[in-house]
Amino acid sequence: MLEYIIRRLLISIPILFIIAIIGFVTMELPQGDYVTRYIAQLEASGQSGARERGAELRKLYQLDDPAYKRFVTWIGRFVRGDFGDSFYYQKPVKTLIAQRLPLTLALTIPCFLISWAIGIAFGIFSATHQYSLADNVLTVVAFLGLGLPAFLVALVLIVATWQITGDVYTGLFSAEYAAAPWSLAKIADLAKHLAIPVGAVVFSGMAWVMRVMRGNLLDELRVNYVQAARAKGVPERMVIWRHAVRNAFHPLVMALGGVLAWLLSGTAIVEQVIGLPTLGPLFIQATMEQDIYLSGTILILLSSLLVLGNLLADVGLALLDPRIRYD
Amino acid sequence: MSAWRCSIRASGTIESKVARSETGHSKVVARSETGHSKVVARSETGHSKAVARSETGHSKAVARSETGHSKVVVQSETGHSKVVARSETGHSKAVARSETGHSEREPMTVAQTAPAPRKLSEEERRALLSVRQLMWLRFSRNRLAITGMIVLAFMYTVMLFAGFVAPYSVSTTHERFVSAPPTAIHLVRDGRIVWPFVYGETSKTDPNTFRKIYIPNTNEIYPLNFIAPGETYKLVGLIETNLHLFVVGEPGSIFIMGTDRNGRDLFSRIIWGSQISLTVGLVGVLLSLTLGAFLGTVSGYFGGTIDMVVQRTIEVISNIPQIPLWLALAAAVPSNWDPVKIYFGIAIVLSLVTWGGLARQVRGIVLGLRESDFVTAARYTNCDTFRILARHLLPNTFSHVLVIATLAIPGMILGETALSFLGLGIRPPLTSWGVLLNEAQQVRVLLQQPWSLIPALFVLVTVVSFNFVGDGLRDAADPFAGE
Repeated sequence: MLEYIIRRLLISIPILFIIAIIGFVTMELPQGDYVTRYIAQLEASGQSGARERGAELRKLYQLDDPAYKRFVTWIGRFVRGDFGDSFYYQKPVKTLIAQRLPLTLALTIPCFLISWAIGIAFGIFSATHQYSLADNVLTVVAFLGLGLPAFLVALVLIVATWQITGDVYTGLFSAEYAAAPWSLAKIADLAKHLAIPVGAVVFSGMAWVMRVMRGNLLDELRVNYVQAARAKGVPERMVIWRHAVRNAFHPLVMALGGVLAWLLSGTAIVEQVIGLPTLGPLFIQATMEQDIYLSGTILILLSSLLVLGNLLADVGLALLDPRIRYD
Repeated sequence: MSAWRCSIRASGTIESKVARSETGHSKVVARSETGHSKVVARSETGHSKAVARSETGHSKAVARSETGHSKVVVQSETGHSKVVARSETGHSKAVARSETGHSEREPMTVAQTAPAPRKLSEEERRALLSVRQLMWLRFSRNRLAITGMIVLAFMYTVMLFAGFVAPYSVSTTHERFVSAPPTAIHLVRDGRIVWPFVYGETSKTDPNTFRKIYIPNTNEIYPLNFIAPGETYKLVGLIETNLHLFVVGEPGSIFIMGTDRNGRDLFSRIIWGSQISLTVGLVGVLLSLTLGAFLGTVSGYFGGTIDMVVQRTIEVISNIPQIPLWLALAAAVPSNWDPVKIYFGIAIVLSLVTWGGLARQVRGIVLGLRESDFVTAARYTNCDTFRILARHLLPNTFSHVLVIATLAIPGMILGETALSFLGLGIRPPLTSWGVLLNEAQQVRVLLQQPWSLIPALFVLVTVVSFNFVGDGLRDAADPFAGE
């Protein structure tokens, strides 16, 4: 097992290197670059010295060097832990990510836990009560969740809360609490504001988990060992929880591999809609603004987490199912 | 040629194997180990034993002995096969044996009994159905799948006749009706039910909010005209006409889903926008399918270096998170391209991210089939590689690929919606549902005109319908599961 893990880690180095190249090329693909547009903006607004500033910035970021040269410089710094500077914010990428990481995780970890807990519970209930009224209702809910992306659910929730309460919950805080010191009221305000994004993300996430859980459990319940367990008099509760559910978990454990990366980027569009100062909107903005070092770093960070997550998921699967061996 | 034994073994799909022995005392054995084959063992002279045996489903096994003293044994070991044992002359013994359910047995000795026509039972009729018919039967019993199918057929029809269904063109602006709420259609006037009509509306500026409000003018009445002339357009892009499903006479106007900030009718724009939203997913899936099915088949069949390269490539792509990669690639589509190019650019972006998963699934199926006897048989009969891939392997993956493709379409439609919503996908002047939702991105606009969320409803219905159809196809693709 240990050997397998080491082998996987070694393989992931070239994979990440190729992803870095793909990421860099993708970021370089759009025509023009950030500085050109920035200078055009400055000139349009009639500021003097725009051209000099442009030349200075181009030199600073080596924008006139060929792309492969910049890539080599960038990746060289990258492995030493220097991710470069953001054009837009004029700040190190590391600082920007570090600033936004806590809030992002504070939002996404509860989303993940709640949606998976509800999804698994409902999925099991749905499968064990197939074709009952509750199952049908849950199925409809699940299909709504699958058909409406989380960002649209968020928009619907914004309109709905506005219709009901007359307040608009976007951003992190209401105006009066934004600059106020931390207090219970401020926390309550924060919770109110986070309710919409959490609700939207949980709704979509739950729908998917529920469908997968239901489908797999139904498949498992048809397998002979379930019949054998029932035949020898194992209580139904044990049959479901100890035997069938445990085996139905496989696809979910596989999906867990993507969760690490999801925690940082999966809710990006919802965060963008609500206007939260999290990583998702930062990445979307960086992509649109061609802030290549910022978007490139986030992309590689996410990919690394995905590689790591998939490895953890495979190890987890082996722990869950003794039939799976990797050596 | 006596005591000669002719044995042929056919294992495989859509293959017909005929073993035939023309002289006496022979034993003819035709055997098919896998599905969909027709096995015919025929012995034309006496004292022969004809054995046709089909070990798996969906095969037709026919053993026939045309002269006397023969023993005809037809045996089908698994379901859904048709077993016909026929002995045409006397003194023969016809044994038709089906070991499992749903097969039709027809032992017949012509010299002794003439087959009496009789009505088949439901089960027997089912047993005679081909795989395709069985799939359709199973699919058509799935009410959700059929509903989804009907909804989709309806939506695609509307899409085709967008100009007829939409009262206005995609870009017609009504300056007097900026951000107007949906027009109310009235049926009751002076306490009596009348032909549906709408009131003319006058706009006023709210003195408090400085927003435009629209007040119905009860003196102006515009009845709805169905299939009546309006703006000129080209039906299906070919025939110039001015007939619309419903319009109201000038200077009245009807916006059943309100208007946007430029005074364009949202309903018309949704209908026109479906031309992009409903097709970009199909084009994307087609591209990703072509690439995925091709590389998956090649990778699974040849194995070795090719397999390694393809698998590692897929691994790399699958290790980049989907949504960020979509965003980054979509941002790379130049915004100054002409609309057609942007449309295909976005379709390519959608497919570039998803082909890997498809290729993996196809590879898995091909890997399983590669070692099967019918491929070996094809190889032994000097079938060239291309023919084996194109005629034997690809058709076998077809039903699975169809399922995978159908289930991939919703993801593509949602992807296009998300990208266009962010302003990275389809861009104006092209119109898709995502582009229409883009207006709702600003919360201020959203609250002023909540009807701008209506396109989401169309996305929802389409995606759910595709999911229903996909689930139905998945169940139907394996018509024996759970029976």
